[in-house]
Amino acid sequence: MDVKGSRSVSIKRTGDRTASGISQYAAKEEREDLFPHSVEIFQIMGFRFTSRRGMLLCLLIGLLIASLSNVDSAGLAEELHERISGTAGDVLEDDPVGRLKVYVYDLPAKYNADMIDKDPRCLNHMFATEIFLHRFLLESPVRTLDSDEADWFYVPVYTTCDLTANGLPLPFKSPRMMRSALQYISRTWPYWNRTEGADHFLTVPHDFGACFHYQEEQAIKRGILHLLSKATLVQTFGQRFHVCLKEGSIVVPPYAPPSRMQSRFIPPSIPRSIFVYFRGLFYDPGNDPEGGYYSRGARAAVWENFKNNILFDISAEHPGTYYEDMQRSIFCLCPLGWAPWSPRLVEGVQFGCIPVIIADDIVLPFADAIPWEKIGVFVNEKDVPNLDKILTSIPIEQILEKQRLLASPAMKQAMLFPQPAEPGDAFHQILNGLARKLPHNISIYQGTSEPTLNWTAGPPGDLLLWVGDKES
Amino acid sequence: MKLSGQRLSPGHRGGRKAMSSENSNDSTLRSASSVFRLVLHSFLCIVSLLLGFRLSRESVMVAVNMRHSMNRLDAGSMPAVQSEFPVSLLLNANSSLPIENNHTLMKLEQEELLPELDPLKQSVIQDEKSSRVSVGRHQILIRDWPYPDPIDVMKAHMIIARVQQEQRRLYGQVERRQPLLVITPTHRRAFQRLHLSSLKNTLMLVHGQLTWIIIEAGGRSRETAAIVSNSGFTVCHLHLTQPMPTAWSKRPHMEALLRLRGLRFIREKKLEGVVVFADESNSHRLELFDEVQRVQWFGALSIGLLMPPKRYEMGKSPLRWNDLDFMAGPPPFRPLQGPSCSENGYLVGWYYEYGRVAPKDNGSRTSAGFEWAGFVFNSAVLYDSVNRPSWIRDWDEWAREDDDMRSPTIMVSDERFIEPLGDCGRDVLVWWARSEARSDGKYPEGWVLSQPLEVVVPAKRTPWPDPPPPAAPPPPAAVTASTDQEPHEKKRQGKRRNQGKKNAKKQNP
Repeated sequence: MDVKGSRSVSIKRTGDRTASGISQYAAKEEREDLFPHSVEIFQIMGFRFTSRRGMLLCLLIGLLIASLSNVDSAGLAEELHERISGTAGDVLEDDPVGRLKVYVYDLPAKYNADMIDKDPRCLNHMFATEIFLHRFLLESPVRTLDSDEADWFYVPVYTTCDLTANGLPLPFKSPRMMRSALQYISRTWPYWNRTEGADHFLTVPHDFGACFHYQEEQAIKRGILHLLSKATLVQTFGQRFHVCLKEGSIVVPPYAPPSRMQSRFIPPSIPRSIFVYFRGLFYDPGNDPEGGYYSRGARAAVWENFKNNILFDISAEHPGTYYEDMQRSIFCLCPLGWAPWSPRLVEGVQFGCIPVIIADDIVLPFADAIPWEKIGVFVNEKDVPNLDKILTSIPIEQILEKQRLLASPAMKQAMLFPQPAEPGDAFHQILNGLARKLPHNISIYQGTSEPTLNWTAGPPGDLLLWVGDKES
Repeated sequence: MKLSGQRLSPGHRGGRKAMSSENSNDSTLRSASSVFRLVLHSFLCIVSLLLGFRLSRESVMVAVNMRHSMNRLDAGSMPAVQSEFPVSLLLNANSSLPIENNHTLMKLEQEELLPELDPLKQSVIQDEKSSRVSVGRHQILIRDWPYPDPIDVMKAHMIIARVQQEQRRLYGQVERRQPLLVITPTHRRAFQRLHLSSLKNTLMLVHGQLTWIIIEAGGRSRETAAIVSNSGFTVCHLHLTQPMPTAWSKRPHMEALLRLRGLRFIREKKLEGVVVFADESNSHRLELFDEVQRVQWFGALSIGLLMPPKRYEMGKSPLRWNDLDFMAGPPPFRPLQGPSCSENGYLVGWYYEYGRVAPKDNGSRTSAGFEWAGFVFNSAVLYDSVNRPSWIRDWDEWAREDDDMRSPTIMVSDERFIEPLGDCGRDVLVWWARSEARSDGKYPEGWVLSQPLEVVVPAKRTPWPDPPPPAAPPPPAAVTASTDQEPHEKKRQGKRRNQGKKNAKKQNP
């Protein structure tokens, strides 16, 4: 049986490629081998709509994403690109400076800087959002050193920096680390206890956000960390009716180094000759060799139905011209893997390739600022066998419209995390999202006699003390 | 004990036992049923090891499917990948159907470690669609015939063409295309159809507006009209009554007269555009027609020459220059003619088969022997005397039919003003070739056969019945023995040599 394990190791080694999306899935198969699954039943909890505004927001998100309706453009046929405006209006290019103030807690280094010193690989993987957002906020003009006038408080904890030998984050100590940080905050400053974290925000970029697990069943069973139930979470995971996405969260794209993509542009006059493009795993041989679990069978269905179709340039190979090929394609498939999000969406937007999103109930980044159903094509997982019919029956005007929207530089910029930060990038979209949530509901400031946050909730393993990683 | 084939326990990796302690399932020997389950499970695992796939999982799915085939199963329940007790009731999350109503969940027999799922908790949201998404094993949906539908492929190609057209419009297209005036001299002959129809096909691929001016020697003929018809662009079919001479050496002059006739037509009609000389036997690249758009007044480009060098050495090529000295020995042959530039991109001379030649100071035409196909010019130089640059001569000065004008540079008074095209002559965009039938060649008239072809080699198997053998009285029995040998021997010999022909001769008397 160790043979199986070692085989998966070798697969993972070959899986270390430049395309970060592919490495994510290779990473997944590596991690799954670590722990045996057990027979568990999870609970699916419903969405809790705690406020009318939250309900409205979610309804809007639902309407936005659930419909595949044709949207006629305003007939701007002569422009190279069109302005992007989502349900919140034309907000992609808003400037957050002056609209909000953020106070960044000065936590001891063991919560943030020491993690990087221990393992500098944290700066390059796709969960590096938390590190770069912290650094951005430290230098940003929205930062205030006066905590009394702050609208939002940022807790800089690097929970996904605990990496294995192969560079995959282990989330098992993250709940303890988070709890330790929040205890420190509540002891040192009065602001957490004042609102029980309702005006605080943190980054949880891991696979299932604040559920702190990479396996979906386990994550659902754990649920969002109880202490964070009032805070605003900035996360990459977004799926409707899922435990690990709570209302009011800001969904962001995964981190991908912008320079890696921007150095590989080809002239836009090179004709797009590939109809559908995809590179990545269809089956996860290490964890799910027969299929059915990985990507809920959607990727396997794509392979089985379209491997003989010349319109579909799909394979599990890792070409060196991955980015260039995306720029020569009209549609790029973005199916779910072990989690519904993937860096392919970011790459597709950068390279002007219309994303075909095959993930039921997914919530895409900045869904209120970017009208994703106008830009991408959403396909239900059960409709995957008819994917070729669906794609060829899209009216050509819509396809050209989508390409015009994708050509918008505001759109491309909103998906990136450049260092140093540039106007309109994803950092600013996060701040815009936070600014749109202002002013806070006055009820959060009314202290209740008994605090509702239970500091002892959660599995017993979470209550152990976390003293920082002493071992190197 | 964990016997499932693949998810084996952890230890080789990093030894994080935190979760394993929570998740380990102790073998329970509490009841006979569990013993039975264990035994069955181990049996199935051994069988699956032998068979190479996880039999336990499949049998479970079959069992559950048979048992619960009528219910709409859902949501949420398929336990995680490792199953310790496969025979127990498991929910099959086999459906990825969109489930919008409340469903009944089957309760599982599980260990006490696992909480039981309360089915009613799922139906929290009544007014909105609940999640269609369930965790667990899903079916891989494959349609009946997973191959491309030709109509979809066609639609996809139309989409690709439209997208590329839009790309060209936005990013790459030449801003404004001038119309092209293509002049082709021709005459009726065996190889005319070969050359003219391929030229027509080339011109049909050219973007933009095109006018094809064909000048025929010996009067307008039906054959020429038939070839050039149905091309999709404007065709002007002109003629001269004088026939094309048979002698090879006289043909260039006749062709020059034909082209002059075409130019006079352009001048009379004051047609606008770029004049391109496309001889019918030339091969053109489509980039040529994009490159000639850049000409302002008079341009020259490189042509490749497809002709055997032997003719040069023997001095028999029509491209021989009069002032070449043969006594110096056979020169190196480079099959190109075109402009030659300095580093700044200005024309400093010509490049022909034998090397470079600089323009002479007295202004005489050094490019006189060049092919017409290598020159393009704006049609306005023919009739627009106001805007025409001074280094281009007036029509009346140079267009004299009795003159031996051998290349269009006769209309230019100073060659140094000619614009070099095609990356300053480095790009060969057209090839000149002449292949003609001999006058005594037996080519069918217009390549149309009046009678069907005769059988020379019969096909081995045809779907039609063989014609009956010729009726002959059967020879007397005594003679048949000997006579039968001969045809067989002949046939055998025939098989060695030339089977087909002998058989044919036998069949067709």
